[in-house]
This record gives sequence, structure tokens and C-alpha cells, in this order.
Amino acid sequence: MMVPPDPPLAAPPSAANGSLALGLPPADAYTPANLPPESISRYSRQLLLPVFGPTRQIALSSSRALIIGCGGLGCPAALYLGAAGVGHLALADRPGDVVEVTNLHRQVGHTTDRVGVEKAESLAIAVRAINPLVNVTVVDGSAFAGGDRPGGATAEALVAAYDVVLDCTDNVAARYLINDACVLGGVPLVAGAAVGTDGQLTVYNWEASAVDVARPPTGSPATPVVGTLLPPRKSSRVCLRCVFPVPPPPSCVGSCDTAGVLGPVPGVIGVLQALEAIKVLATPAAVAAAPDDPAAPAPGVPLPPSGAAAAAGLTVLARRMLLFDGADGAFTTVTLRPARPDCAVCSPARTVTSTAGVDYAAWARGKPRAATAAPPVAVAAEGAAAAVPRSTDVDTASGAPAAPAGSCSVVPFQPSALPPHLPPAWRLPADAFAATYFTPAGAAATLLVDVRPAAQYQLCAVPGSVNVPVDGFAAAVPDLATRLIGGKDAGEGAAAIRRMVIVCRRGNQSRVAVAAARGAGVEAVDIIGGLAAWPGFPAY
Amino acid sequence: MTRVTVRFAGGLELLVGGRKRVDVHLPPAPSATAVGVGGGGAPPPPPAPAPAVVGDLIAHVRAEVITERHDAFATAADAGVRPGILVLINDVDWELEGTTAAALADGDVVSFISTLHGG
Ligand SMILES: [Zn+2]
Repeated sequence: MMVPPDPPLAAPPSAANGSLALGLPPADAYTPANLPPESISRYSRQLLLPVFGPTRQIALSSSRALIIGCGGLGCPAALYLGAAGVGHLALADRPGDVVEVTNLHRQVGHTTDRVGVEKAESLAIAVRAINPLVNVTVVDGSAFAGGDRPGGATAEALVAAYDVVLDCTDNVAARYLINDACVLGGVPLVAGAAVGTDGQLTVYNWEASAVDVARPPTGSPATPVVGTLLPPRKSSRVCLRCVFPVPPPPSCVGSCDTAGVLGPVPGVIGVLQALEAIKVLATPAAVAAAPDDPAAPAPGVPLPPSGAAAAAGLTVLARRMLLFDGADGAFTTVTLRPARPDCAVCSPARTVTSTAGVDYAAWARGKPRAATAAPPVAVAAEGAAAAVPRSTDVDTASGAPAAPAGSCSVVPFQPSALPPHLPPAWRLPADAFAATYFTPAGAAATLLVDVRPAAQYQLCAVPGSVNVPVDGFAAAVPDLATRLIGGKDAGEGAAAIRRMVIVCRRGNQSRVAVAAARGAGVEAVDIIGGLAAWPGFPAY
Repeated sequence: MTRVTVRFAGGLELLVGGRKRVDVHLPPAPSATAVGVGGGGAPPPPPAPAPAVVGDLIAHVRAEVITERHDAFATAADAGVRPGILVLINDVDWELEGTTAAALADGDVVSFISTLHGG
């Protein structure tokens, strides 16, 4: 027996006016109180996803995230977190850190016409343009960039106002400071890093479920963490100091500014930071379980929820580290150790109970007690070391050669690694020298030695200069000296005496080279501030 | 002789001429070759070779594989590696395996990964 077809329905009203005109309720009558109609439309594609859905969207939309660092990692992280509808997105960077042209190949939240604008402000504009439903604020990042401000809130007090922190910074001191602040403030930390073609990602201070860290079988029996008499901790909530108790020597730390970086590499890691943050934030508090570790953060600090996300199909990258090899196109995820029984900040045996008063910049340079360390006078005098440390300053202060990608030299932990202090008579201002160099007499009287790495010399160089990278400079001094007393390029009748002038990128390695030349009896001089101070030389 | 693959990442590959994977044939540990020098009577049974451990591998890699800036990998006096290097045995943190005392078997992959701080 045939069922007669239903009579055709009237077309549904498509606008509020239409529904009101028909006597129907407004659009928000159809949605949960905390998921307004515009959210249904905007987030529909993630709301349709079974492991996400409206419950997690509501949790995400009522949560607060803090992104520290608005560069290569922070830009993609903020764009994706904002687009996904985090409730409150706070953006922090160093005051005075503005968008530069050299940032734009990877820091995709900024634009050419915002060069010169503070990075956090510029990124806030970009996020608001994507999603006006997000409350985007700019916060002063001073507390995360080194020193305490007298009377200012500690870093742990600042992070405690958020449900997750994304570490998108670019230097060792800030990373340890932010780690400690998040442990002391009881906030999970999504830590990403990228240099060259490599990236790394993990989530600290978040309880890893048994599922998260299921170990592949190995032939060796598991052994407790060695080097301590303390009992193993039950917690799988590890922090940066659990994995890396001691910072690397400054000379072994590459930065994007000196080592270079392919833009999509921090892009990949920053996007994955947003993904991990969404998984952390979208864990509704109602289903979160408290961890069982008596060694967990300070009393009174609310603990982040534990492995609830994993139970419902979203597994946070806790106690695991993702390694991205962009050169090979390969991802690897490795299992990390459990919480360290003697961790300096997250164990019952902690020695760090506040970030206030800790000189993280000095500590990252291998000098735990700042009071006993000689201040880097020579560096400060050139204005390179501001109150706010940045990766280039750390490199500069260490005296590490401006070597190619991520490479290491062997001068760690030594204050003597600072570039030597030269008498003023051995140093020339860049602008005055450049003016004389570009005269026939000036060029003929000068042997200009550029001690930057070959890759940088090939990028751009002063005409007529010769490239002798600082690593091999001392060995090359005798050969260079022969050119000073009228070599074959001196020409008939030309002035026989040529002056050796040494230049580098910023005026640090040139001092090392001048000291080496003078040690070999050649009265070399260097250019203050290097090519960065040379008028008209391309900035890079 | 233990055959293991050594991975370098995070910039450490620059210490070995840019190679990210190096196959290493680890000689028997000294303790294995020192056994069995007793004389007279029936020859002693061949000693069971002591398994090579990760500490042996680090010393070998530092001496034989690293081509420059050796202290950026490990210092001679140090049993382990310099701070900031994550060591993995078959993609598992070596702290879970006994660090330098972890025994190695043919086919193991030991990774040395310098932690990154850029962004
Ligand atoms: Zn810890």
C-alpha cells in the first residue's frame, strides 16, 4: 500500500524578522544559553566533530588563554586559537618589541603596513579581524622577559589568571621563568620551539594519563630516575626542569635571528600549540579529575584537570615530546620521563618557591648568582643589552660566534667568553669609517676583513672586503699580514702601508678578531657596532 | 660488537658533518675483553661479553663520530652529555632506561636531540 507523500512544507524563515513576522521565536531560542546562534554558525564545522561538539565548544568559549611571545610561534597559535573561539585571548610580548620587516616571512599575524607597531598590538588586530567574538587583550610582557618590576605582579600571579599558557618565546631565560611561573601558578603550559628546520612541542604541568604515555616494550627494565635518593613520584605532571634541570650552555643555543629559520617550521609548531591548547581548554571542569600526586603544586593552587580529555578521545601531548624535522618532513613523538623526584620547582624538594628575585637571564648564562657575576659592561655600553633579554642579547653576552644554524662552540659558562673590551683607539665609528673607505685613498689604505660566517658574507658584503670567518681568523692572521705590507694587489707606487680593519655583524666578533690580530703583532682596529651600524648596509 | 643507529637532531647533526643518522659498530666493552686471561689447565669457557651500555656509546661517539666542537656534545670528564641534550633509546627518554647504564642491543636507535629555544 502506497504511503501518500507529505504535503510540501512552507520554506523556513531565514531571517529573524521573518520568524517574528510569522510569530516564531528568535534564533537564540533554538540554542543553548551559552552557545549563541552566531557561534553555531561560526564554529559549525568543529561543532559537528564528534570528539569536540557543543560541550567542548562551550568550555573553550568560557576559557582564558595567555600567549607569551607574538612572533613565529605566537602568530599562528593566536590566529588559530582565536578563530576556534577561545573566550579570552591575552597576548604578551616585550614592551617595545615592534614588527620588523625581517619578521614577516614567518610571523604571519603581522602585515607590512604594521611594521613599527608593537607586536602584541599588531597580532591583536589580526585576531579581532578574524573573530570579533573573542575578547582579545594585550598584556605587558615585562614580567616574563627577565626582571621583576618593583611593585609589579610576579609572573606566577599573572599566569594564574589563565587556564593555559602558550610559551612562544625565543630564549632560554624566558622559557625557564615561564615554566616556573606556570608550576607555581598551577597552569598548564604548552611549550613550542623552532629553529632552522627543526621544531619541538610538549605540554608541561598537565597530568598525563596512562594512555598518554603507554611505553613501547623494550628490552631494558624500567629504572627509576637516577641521581636521587628520593622515591619516585606518582605524578606524570612533568615540567621543563624535570626534563632539563640545567639550561644549555649559551654557546649551544641557536636563535632564529642568528641561525635562520624557514617560516613554515615555527608555523607548524605554533599551529600545533593552538591544537594542544584547545584540547586542554576544551576539557570541561566537570569531568576533570584531581591528580593523586602529593607533590603537586603549592597548597591552595587549583590543579589543572587531568587526563579527562584523553578519556573522551582527545589526548594532550603531556609527558611526550613531538619532534618535527622539516628538512626530512618527519614527525616523531617520544616518551618523556615521569616527574623528577628532586625537581627544583615542581617536587616536594623544590628550591624555587617564587620567580621574584631570581635572575633568570644570569642563570641561563650559567651564572646562578647574579650578584657574583661580572656585569657585561662592554656589551651594555653598546646598547645591545637592554633590561629585557632577548635571544640575540644572550648570544651576544656569551660571545658565541655568530655561527650557522644552531651550531655550538665550546665556550660555555665562562665569563671570559664575553668579547674583549678594547681601548677606544682600537675602534672606529661605522659612519665615519664608511665615509673614508669609499674614497680611492681610503680603500687603498685599508684591508677590510669581514669575520662573519661565509653564508652571511655571501648575503651582503662591503665591496672590496675579504671574508675570514672568526673561527679560523687567528690561523689566518699571518697570511693577512703579508697583504698589509704591499702584496700583489697593492699596485705599483701605491701606499705600502695598509691598515687592517675588522668588521662583523654587530661589533662583537670583530673585537675577538682584533684581540687575536694584536696578539700576533698586527695593529688591527674594528668597527663599533659592526655592519648593523654601517650606514646604508642592508639590515638582516 | 653492538650495532646501533645513532640519530642527531636539533642542530647536533652539525657536529657530525650534517649527518642525521650514523650507524655505529660499538666495540666490546673493556670489561668483556679483560676477562679470561688465566693460564693453565683447560681453556676457560669464552666469557659472555658484557653488553655495551649507553655510556660506552657516548664516549665512542664523542671520540670517533663527532668531528668538531666535541664539548658541545659531551665533555671528556662527564659521564653523560652536556645540559640541554635529550637522549632517547628507541624513542623513549633514557631516564626510563637507566641513562648511561642502559644496555644496548643490536638494532637499537639512540637519539641525541638538542633542545630548541627559538621561536
Ligand atoms: Zn619539575
